[in-house]
Parts: sequence; C-alpha cells; structure tokens
Amino acid sequence: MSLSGSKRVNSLEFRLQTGLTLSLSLLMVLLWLFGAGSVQHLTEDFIASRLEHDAEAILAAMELGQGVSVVSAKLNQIYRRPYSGHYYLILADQGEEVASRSLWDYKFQIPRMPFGVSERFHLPGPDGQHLLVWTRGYRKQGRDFTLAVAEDLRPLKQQRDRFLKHFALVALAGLGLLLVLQGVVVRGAFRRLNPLRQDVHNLATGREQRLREDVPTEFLPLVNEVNHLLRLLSTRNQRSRNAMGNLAHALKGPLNLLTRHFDQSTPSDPSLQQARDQVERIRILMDRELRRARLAGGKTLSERFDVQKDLPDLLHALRQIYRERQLHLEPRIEGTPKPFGDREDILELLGNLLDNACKWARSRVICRVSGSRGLDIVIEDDGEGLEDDAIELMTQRGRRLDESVDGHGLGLAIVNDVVELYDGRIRFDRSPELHGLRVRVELNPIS
Amino acid sequence: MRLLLVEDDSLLSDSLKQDLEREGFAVDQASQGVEAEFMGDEMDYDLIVLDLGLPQRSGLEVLGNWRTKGVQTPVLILTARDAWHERVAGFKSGADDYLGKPFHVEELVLRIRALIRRSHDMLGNRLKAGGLELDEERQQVILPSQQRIELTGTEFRLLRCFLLNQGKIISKTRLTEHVYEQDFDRDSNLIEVYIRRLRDKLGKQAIETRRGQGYVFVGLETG
Repeated sequence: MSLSGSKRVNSLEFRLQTGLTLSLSLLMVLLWLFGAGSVQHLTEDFIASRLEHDAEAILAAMELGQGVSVVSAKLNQIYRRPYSGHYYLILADQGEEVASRSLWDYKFQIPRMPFGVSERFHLPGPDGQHLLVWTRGYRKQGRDFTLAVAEDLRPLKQQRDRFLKHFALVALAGLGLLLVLQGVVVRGAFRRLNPLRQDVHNLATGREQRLREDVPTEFLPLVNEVNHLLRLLSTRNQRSRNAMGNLAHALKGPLNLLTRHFDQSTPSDPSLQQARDQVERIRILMDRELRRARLAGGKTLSERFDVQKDLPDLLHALRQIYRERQLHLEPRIEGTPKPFGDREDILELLGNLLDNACKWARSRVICRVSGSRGLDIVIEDDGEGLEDDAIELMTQRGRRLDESVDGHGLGLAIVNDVVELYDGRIRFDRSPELHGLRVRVELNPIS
Repeated sequence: MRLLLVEDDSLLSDSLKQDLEREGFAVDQASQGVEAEFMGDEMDYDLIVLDLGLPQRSGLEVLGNWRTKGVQTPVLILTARDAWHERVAGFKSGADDYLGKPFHVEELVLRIRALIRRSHDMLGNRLKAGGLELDEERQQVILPSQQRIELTGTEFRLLRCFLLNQGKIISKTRLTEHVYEQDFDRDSNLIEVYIRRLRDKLGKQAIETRRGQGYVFVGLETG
C-alpha cells in the first residue's frame, strides 16, 4: 500500500465515512429485503382472501345434479373472458372436472383436497401467467369435491417490482445525501481542531505558554494533559536553572579563596604558578559550562527578549561599566521587532558582543536590531578592527575553550553557543561606517 | 575612606577586609541583608561592596531600598551571579559597578579607587588635587616638584580624604570615621597629631584649621 493510501486508511474522517457507508448500506439492504418480503406476503394474503370470497361465490353458483355445473350467469364476467387471469377448477369425486371458461383449453393440475382442508400454492398459468391458487376440499349434499380458485399475480408483481425499484432508488439517493452531510459534519468537527493546531505551533515557537481549553470535550483531557506536562517541564526547567545558579554561587566562593591564596603567594615558585593556572582554568571551564547550561533556547516558557525594553537597560549597564571612557553607544532599532527568544539568552549574546565592542572602540559603538520573524543584530565599533586572517580565526575561535584569553574568547564561545541554539549565523567584517569591527548575527525562531 | 563590605561568606569577607585595610580603607562588615541595609542607611560610607546572594534580604532588594530612600553611596556589586541579565538587573537597581566572582583583589581595589574618584567628580585614573598627587599603589604623595614622600597608613588615609574633598570643611569626627575602624578607640587628639605630621611633610599652608568646625585642605597651589 502506498504511503498516501495508508495515511488515508488511518484518517479518522475516512474511517468514519467507511463505517457509516457500510452500516447504512447494510441497513438499506435489510430494509429493502424486509420491505420486499412484506409486500409479497401482504399482496398474497390479500389475494388469497379475495380468492376465498370468490370461492364462496362459485360455490353458490354451483349446481350439483347428475354432474357438476356452474351457472356462469351468477358469476363475474371475468371468469368467461379467455385468459383473463381469474380462473376456477372443480374436481368432483367421480373424476369430473369443471373449469372456468377463461381457462380456455389450458389445464393445470391440482391435488385433490380432503374435506375441510385448504391450501395455497403457485402454478404457472396460460399465456406465461403466474397463478396463485387457493384450493379447498368441500362436501356439499354428501358429495366431496375440490375447488381451486386462481388469479394471475403478474399485474401485482409488476407494481410490486416498480415499488421496490423506486424504494431502492430513494434509499440510494438518501444514502448518498447522508454521506455528504456526514462528511460536512465531520469536516466541521475537525475544523474546530484548527485553533488547537495553531496553539501547538505557537507553543513550539514560544508565542504561547499553554494550550487554550475551549476545545471539543473529547480533546479536553488531552489538552489538560499537555498543559500539565508543560507546567511540569517549566517548573523543572526553572528548578534546574536555579540549581545551576546556586551551584555556581556555591563553587565560586571556595574558588575565590583559592584564587586569593595564589594571588598572595610568591609567583616565583613554578609549582605554585602551575596551581594558579589550573585554578584559573577551572574558573573558565566552570563559567563556560554554567553559562551554556543556562541557555534556554526560547523553547521553554520563559520571558521573551523585548528590544524596546531590554536594549536600553543593557546599554545603561554598559555605560556604567565604561563610564570612564565616555563611550557613545547608539541603539538603532529598525521596525518593530517582536519579543523573541529567551530574554536571558539574547541578553547574554548582546552583552558579550557589546562588551567586546566597547573594549575595542575609541568612542562609538552602534547596535542595530531589526527583524520580523527572527532577530538581526549588527554591532559596529570604531576601534582598530581586524585583519582578514584574524577575522577568519575569530570565526572559529570561540569553539576552542583553551584559547579564551582575558574573557574575550569565553564571551565569543557563549555567543557562538547562542547563535547555534537559534539556528543562526554570525559574520565578522569591517564596519563601512565606523571602520572598526562589524559583527552581524542572524537568529531564527526555533520551530 | 570608609567602606561597607556586605558578604555572607565569612571566610571571604574576613580575608577581603584584610586586603582592603592593607590598601588603606576602613572596612565595616555585614553578613546579611537587613543588617546591611540598616548600616548603609545610618552610616556615611564612601563606598559599599555588595554581594547579591544574601540571607534575609537579597542584595538587589537592599540596593533598591537604598536608592528609593535617597542613599547615594556608590555601590559595587560583587557576586557570583554575573550573567548579563543579572548585571542588567544590578545596574537597573542602581549599582555603579559590577564585578563577577571569582575575582582578583587587584582588580577589585582598582575598581574601588576608580569608583571613589568618580563619586568625587574626579576624572582620569589619578588622584590629584591642590598640586598634590597620591600614588595609591605605593602610598606615597608626589609634590609639585615631583619629589615623592613616603606616608604611613594613617597619614595616607587622611590625605586621601583631604584630596578627595579639596576646599570642603571636614569635621574631626568625620575624619576619625573615615580613617579608623568602627570599633577603634577614638581619640580625637590622635587626629591632631597626624595632621601635624602631614603639615610637617607638605608644608603648613596645605591644611587649614577652622576652629570649632574642622579642617580644610587648600593645597599647595601658588597664586
């Protein structure tokens, strides 16, 4: 089976439609069969009762003398017209047979009935007719005879067939109509799931924190489960983030004392110098891994980075840090970027890039932020800038931990982690406006 | 110069106190938030070194409370929580500088000096006033003739206080506060002794006495 075929079989709509088609068809067939049976039964009963009445009339018209005769004048004309479809036959006890004129020269065989016993059966009639025969044994004036009255069923049968045909046609049309209606209803019902699908999508891209609960009742338990899971994940994430922070805090105290211990000791001793280097390495490793562990990637239900609110705060912090240098930091927000990603991640990225720019700038740093779906960041400074081969090196540098010098490489490593997390791109070149380094970062929403 | 050191790790706090005292600062310690806030409110410190992860009341809250109450003392946040979003929050609450742990004492001292100069509107990275320059590393004073004179610890602390407040009257009590520890036996006569020694080294006209008010550093500027 092809993939689309198996997909189709697995679709709820397909299942509902086939189930309904099958059950409705079965119902229609049963109805038809039952209807056909009932109609046949009813008509035959009706005709049989009429035949009984006719038999009484024939009995009344019978004259039993030497032989048996029927006074035709007393009977309906129909028994005299040939092949009229209404016949009678009397079998007397001495083998005498009296048949209606309408039978003409056609003979049909009937069994001789004992007195008081009646029977009903079908027989082929003249001219291709189909006869319903009703016979009964009688005793009149001490003589036994059997009277059979017959009627052609063909006209009735034709009517019945026409009725059954119409019934089938109406049933088929009804079936078709029902299926179409059902399809509309089912599709309508599934359309109510579209908001849910949109919600789930928003959840993935971080625009929504939980699923709305105005869904069809059947899906409410599912939605509740998902929301519960989301809450659980969010608290768990928060807890592990807090645990990370606490761990950092706890580890940094002792490490700080070690650093201080080595700061105070004489640097001339080579083994002490080595120990000091190792402490420094532990510090950098710890810093790097803790920061990396803290990156959330905007998948969690955390606060979004809002350029309008967070960038001015960050620039305020940087102006305080570099107050001595009187740097001119220019934010340039283009368009209205939507809240994006995880606030802490993006602040970490921007903080490191801007800190680096401030370190090298002579007097000016420009920070451009734009983007509608994702976030495009351009940071330029008016420092020395970098040679082409240095730019090449810089692009790879952040990946190697050992190369982190004076926090510079460390910052870039974090920047690279964030860029990678947001499926983004980072490029370095010379700023055309300020002639220093230009860093361009593109971040994409995580879908 | 009188500093308030707020740090809940007593081991680190004690060793830092020693380091800072060696650099000529008088240091008071606080180890939890409520106490720290009270001390910052009540005492006129030149600078506060503040840890963020404090028992009872978080450092950020303490800082925010100081700033809403109008306490303008420069605050340097010294914390292990040094992610950028934490720094942003720190500066937003009114911090003047931020140093992540672990750190080197030299850097902390440099930043403290810079922050104190900045809070006295002194630009650049040298402590200079009235024709005198203070070499904070070596605790020496440089005269206009470029001659360097050695200073004792107390002389250095006194002179730094004068240089930062050139032209302003400084009371004897305030000088005592900024030169000695909290629990030091304060004998104001000692201040007079040290002022006399400073005058011996710098020249009599450098520091004037305002009777009943205190002292004013006028400097050696001729003209």
